[in-house]
Amino acid sequence: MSTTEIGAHDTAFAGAVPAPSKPETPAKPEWHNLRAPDARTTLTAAVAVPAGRRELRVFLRNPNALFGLVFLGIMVVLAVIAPLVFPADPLGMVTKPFLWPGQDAAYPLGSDSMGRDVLAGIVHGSRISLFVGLAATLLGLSAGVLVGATAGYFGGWVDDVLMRVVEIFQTLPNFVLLVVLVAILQPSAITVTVAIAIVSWPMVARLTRAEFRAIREKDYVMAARSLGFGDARIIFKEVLPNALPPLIVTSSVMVASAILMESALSFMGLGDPNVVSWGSMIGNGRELIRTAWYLTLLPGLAIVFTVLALNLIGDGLNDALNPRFSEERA
Amino acid sequence: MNAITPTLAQSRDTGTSRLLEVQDLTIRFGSADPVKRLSFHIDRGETLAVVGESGSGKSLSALALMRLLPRNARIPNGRITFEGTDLLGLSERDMRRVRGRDIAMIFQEPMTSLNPVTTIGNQIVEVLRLHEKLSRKQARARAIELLDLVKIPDPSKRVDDFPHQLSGGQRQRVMIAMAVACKPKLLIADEPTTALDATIQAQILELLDELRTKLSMGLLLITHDLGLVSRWSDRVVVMYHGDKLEELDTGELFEPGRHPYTSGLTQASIRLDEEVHYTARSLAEVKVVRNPDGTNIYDVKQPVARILAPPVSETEPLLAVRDLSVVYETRNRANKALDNVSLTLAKGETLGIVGESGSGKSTLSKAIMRLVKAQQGSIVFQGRDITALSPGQLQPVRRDLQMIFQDPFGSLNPRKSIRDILEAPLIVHGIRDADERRRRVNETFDHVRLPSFVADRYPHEFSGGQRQRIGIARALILRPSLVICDEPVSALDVSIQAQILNLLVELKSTLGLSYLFISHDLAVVQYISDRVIVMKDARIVEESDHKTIWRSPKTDYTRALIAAANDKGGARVAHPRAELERVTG
Repeated sequence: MSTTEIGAHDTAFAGAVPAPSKPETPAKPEWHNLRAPDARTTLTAAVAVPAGRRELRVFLRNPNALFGLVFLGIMVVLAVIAPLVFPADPLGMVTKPFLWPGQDAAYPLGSDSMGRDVLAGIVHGSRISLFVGLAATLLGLSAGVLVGATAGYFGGWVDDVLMRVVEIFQTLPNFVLLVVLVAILQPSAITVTVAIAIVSWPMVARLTRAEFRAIREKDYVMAARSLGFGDARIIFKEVLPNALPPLIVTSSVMVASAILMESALSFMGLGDPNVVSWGSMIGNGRELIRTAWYLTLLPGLAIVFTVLALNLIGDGLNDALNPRFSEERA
Repeated sequence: MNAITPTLAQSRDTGTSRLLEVQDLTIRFGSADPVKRLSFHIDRGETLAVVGESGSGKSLSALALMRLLPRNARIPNGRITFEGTDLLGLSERDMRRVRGRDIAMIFQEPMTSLNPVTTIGNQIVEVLRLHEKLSRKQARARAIELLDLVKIPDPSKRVDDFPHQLSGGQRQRVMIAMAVACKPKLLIADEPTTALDATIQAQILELLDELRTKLSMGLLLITHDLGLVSRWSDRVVVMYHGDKLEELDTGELFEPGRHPYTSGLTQASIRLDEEVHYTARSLAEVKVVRNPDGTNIYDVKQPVARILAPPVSETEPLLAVRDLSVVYETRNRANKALDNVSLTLAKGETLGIVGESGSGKSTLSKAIMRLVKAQQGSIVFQGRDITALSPGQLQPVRRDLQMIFQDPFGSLNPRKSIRDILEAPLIVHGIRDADERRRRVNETFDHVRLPSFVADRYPHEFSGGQRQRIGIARALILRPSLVICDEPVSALDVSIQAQILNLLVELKSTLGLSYLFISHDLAVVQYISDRVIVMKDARIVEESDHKTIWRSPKTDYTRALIAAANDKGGARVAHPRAELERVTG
């Protein structure tokens, strides 16, 4: 009997993961507790791959998400190599004004009213857009997670105080606050980034708090407390990994909205005047929209596609990180 | 309600006795078949019980009858014939008419299956008007009748109550009222009483059975509880992992010569009136082993007789709780969850705590673990008052005081590997040496009978019983002296329950543990405890040694609990089956 048992435990687990190198353990007691797999383990085994590789596969199998990822990748590469491809100052006059796209092969996207290269402007503009988008999201996310985690985990008066602060920010109209902040601070890439982070963290804080409040009631958190884990360890090692999926999804949308905010600021002339940005290009082309509409359309398209790509990535992450099959993340 | 029954009984007398016939039903998800070539039948007015553990496919089969399977499921072959119609061939529109009117279903969780924002009356009215042409007024009158039928007291008033104003048992009664509203010919009850206390459990089944005879319905009872099956059903289908192992008359269930899995299940489930105690013998375990060719070997591990000495009570108790009170304060009222509770626990002793939900047993365990704050009283553990220790001072105490949780699916962090889960407590308690940690983890794996190569896997790769072993391993890895077990086997199947109880008994003697064992299941507490405390409404109502409390209980409450567990209800009207028909295969 016991040989059957030992032989059988490998098959009992084989469905779950690539079978481990078969350990010969004849001296062990019979593993009568390793039963044949039931339907539930078989089902989850079919979809569950250890350590998040399943999520990655679901994500990469989604054509929309893949498109978003590829487009964003191209934009990032362009932003990085912009000084190599267009070493000249994109704000400098290089040709005659109002060249239409396709008119001159040297300037495929034409030139603006001052004779500046539109393509160089868009490529250089991606630098500031992506930088502001990513940096502002990173800042806002850190601040929001920190505040939300503290409020959600500890509850009580800590929660009350922090949430009142969050509410103060949420009652102010976002964009007005942003404009005021940038007007007070001198407009530069850094101040714009900080200002966008300041208006976007409250949403993250609320989301994190809600997740933490739900997860802190779980038995495994109770178990961690009963084992004497410290609060910081529980917050960062036990709760946060389980709260991440919605946060990751939100952050991709945050990048998109940060890019939009930066563009809107630049459009209004509140961006860094020494740096070309998609928003400022649209702002400059605004008055000429009837005669040279391509000056607003082209940077506008750059914004639309970048934001779209980020949203598609967000949707893809949402599908990949919310497993409908497994009961694990309840 | 009397208007309902006679006409119904008449209309049912016509036609054949066969109500439902399932033939060769297979349900497929991707490449897995959770139900394989299942055949069974139900006659009018008969109760068929489908027994099996989680993952055996019993609930899926029920959903298939209602054509309510998840969208990614397919039925590659099989027939479901209901009163001569093939249900699988019906259009979705026709099927909708069958659901609720001809076949109705009640679910396990009465707390979530009612809509919280609508009165119970309106929810019943909605079902009635969906299937029958009734005015609002008529439907409301019928709803009140139905509530009376399911024995809700004062139905004309309660009809306007919202679900949250009812108790769990009452909500399940409302669910039943909704299910029988259109006088279905077949009622499917999927674990109808699992979420309810024992005393209410008996009442609900009595009600279901009464309705079965009154409305001459067929009843499909899906459960894992053999006690219920033996008392409330006519025939039994035993399933394991999608296979129907056997079909038998309920009376034959406990007779010898059954399928090894069936007899394993009957032996592994403990009953209060058997008076088994851990000092006398171990519990029988069901063994199922999968062959490489996909077939299963079923076997029973027979109980081992043994003589264990009862613990010697020392002068100094390991744990002494005095006058402990816990009050949960919500915005407008204070809810006393624990009211002046005192108890002592000697070294090496198992103290069982029984009580229904809301009696304060879980709060007691959390208060002793210092996971909730006690407003009053003291907890003395190993001679030291731990009631007011700071988290830092509590840290060394935690090493000796550990806890096993109820839900093996919720108590393990899904994002951490088993090794991480087991090593984290060691790191927190200052074991820096990685080799030492690894050695301790492997040692603990041996204790809970898990092979150590599973360490790098994640919780979702394990079955419920295996997860509970991991939960036990986590509690034991710091080598505690007292382990608080909060309903450690309630979420497990009967066969696994016996394994875990045997394991806990073994560990107690090899590692010199003491247990505070909390459960609502009297038979389990009877088996494992040296002493028993009965709790009700946040207080201790009775305390006695493990023999006295069952034989001569002092309070009415304890007597009621024991009666419910032994289920000494009235006699059941069995299905009159003149023509005994068997399904072959």
